[in-house]
Amino acid sequence: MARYIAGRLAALVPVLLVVGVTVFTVLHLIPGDPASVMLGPEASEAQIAHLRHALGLDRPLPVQLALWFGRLLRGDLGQSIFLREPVGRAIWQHLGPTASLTVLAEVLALAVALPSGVVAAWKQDSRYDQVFMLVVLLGVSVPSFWTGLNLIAVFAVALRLLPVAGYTPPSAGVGPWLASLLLPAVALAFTQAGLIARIVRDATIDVLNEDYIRTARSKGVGDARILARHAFRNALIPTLTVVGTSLANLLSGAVVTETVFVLPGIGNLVVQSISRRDYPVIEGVVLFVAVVYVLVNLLVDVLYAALDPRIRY
Amino acid sequence: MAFARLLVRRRPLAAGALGVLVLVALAAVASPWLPLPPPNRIDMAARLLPPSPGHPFGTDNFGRDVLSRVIASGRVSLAVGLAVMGLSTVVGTGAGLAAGYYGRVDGVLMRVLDGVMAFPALLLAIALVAALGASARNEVIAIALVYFPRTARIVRASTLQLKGRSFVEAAVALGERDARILGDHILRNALPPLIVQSTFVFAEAILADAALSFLGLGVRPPTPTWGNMLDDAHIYVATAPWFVIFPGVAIVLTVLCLNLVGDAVRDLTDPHAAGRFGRGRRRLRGTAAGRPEEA
Repeated sequence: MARYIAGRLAALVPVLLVVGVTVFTVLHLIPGDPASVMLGPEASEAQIAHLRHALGLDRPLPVQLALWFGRLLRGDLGQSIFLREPVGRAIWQHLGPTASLTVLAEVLALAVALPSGVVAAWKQDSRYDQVFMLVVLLGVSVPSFWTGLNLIAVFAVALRLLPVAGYTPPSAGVGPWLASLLLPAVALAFTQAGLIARIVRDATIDVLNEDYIRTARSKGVGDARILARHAFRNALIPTLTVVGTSLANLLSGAVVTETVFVLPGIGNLVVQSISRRDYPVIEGVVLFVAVVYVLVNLLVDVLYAALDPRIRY
Repeated sequence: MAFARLLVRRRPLAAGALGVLVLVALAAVASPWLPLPPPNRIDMAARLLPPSPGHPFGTDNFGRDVLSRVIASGRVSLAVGLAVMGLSTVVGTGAGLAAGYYGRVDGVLMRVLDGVMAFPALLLAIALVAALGASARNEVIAIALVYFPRTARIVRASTLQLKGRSFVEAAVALGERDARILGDHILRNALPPLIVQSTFVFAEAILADAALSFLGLGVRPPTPTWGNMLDDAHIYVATAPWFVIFPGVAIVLTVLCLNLVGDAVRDLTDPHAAGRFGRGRRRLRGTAAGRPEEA
């Protein structure tokens, strides 16, 4: 197991290297001079030259890349142009709403996907299964920001049950905090629930075809017990993989959904930084989310190995 | 056409979805000649009117006809989706064939693709467009760059599996040129999963385009796209719901139909494949193609 984890960590190095070079390249794709783009048309030559020097843009590209990686290894994501603070601190300050939203959406998605997927597998090809498959497909076909707009129209505007937009931190009370996150979380969860439920269904169908299920049935074990004890627990293992992917999708999807609900999270930070041309922040957030994604997937793979005794490394 | 018959008989819902897609595409192509008000004709006296016989989908915040704009948007959004599909399929196929067939480039190429796939897709596309500047061309490049590695992986997996088959080995023994082996023997047999993947890329591209234009990073107004219509509309969600509903329905309908068709084609060409949305319904058996190993 320790060797497996060490191997997986070593395999991360090339991936993170490509991730870093990609993000670095994106910043240098900006047509023209990033310094003058950042400062806008009214900047003087001297100001541009000063910023160019401050950003290190007057040095050769390979040197810039090396310096940039050096700073990254020390955990320094650079300085925000607009906010006048380190990018790392800006991300940290905006992490709360995004993290709460992502986790709540994942919990909601799992709460819906696990039971509905198992039942669909149990009643494979029934009318329920057909409707289930259509709803799953609908889930992955709907832009979550549009679902969010519709939820606002119904639950916030027409029924006045929940706030239209904005974020209440948990320090102001758990109830208001959840209320401010519920609609965006449902909007995001719909798509993820679709993806997860389909995997749960397929995994359960696979398990139901296994010999030990037939054995249990021939021993006279009841349907409910077979599903809960034998099928569901084994179907959870493949489901774990998709949870890792869906957490990453949620982080990404949150960018647009946060804009709709005016949540001061990482997504909002990115969108505002785009209009402010604050490239170091965009770069930092993309890098941060990519690293989180890679680490979550690593964690999922390790858990996978730990949970399934058949997998030996 | 044999496939169309198979689709109608085995998956009537998907056949219907294909019909809807054809209609959406026809409406988009023919939109300048349809008997509708011009999509950009402003009428400030007719702002935010609810649906009526004159304006079946109502009007927007500039008094423009929402139906005309939804149909005109289809032109742009479908063109972006098609361009992304074309670009990512061509690049992905090239990369996948190279990686699968030539062991020397495989390691490096796949590590690079793994790196690109380590980013959440939409976020990378957003960052790329933010850097390149908002335009239809840059949007297509950004979305295609994000999605081509998935296509490359699928083509690579098929190539690896087909490379060991005897008809390919025979072609190699006969001294056929690599280009001919890759094109005639490998690519032709790798087509079904590639077509399925391209359909899904099309669907994803429509969704990505909607999100990017919603954030103001796609095609700029006044040229309508489904995403930038929703950007205009979202502050009127309480007062003019039709303005929010119809562009969204157009997105959902198009993407849902693409996914239905993609799912059906996969099930019919390869009943065992575990694709993007998992396995198809077991009882269906289609024209059995090779089963690509999971990448």
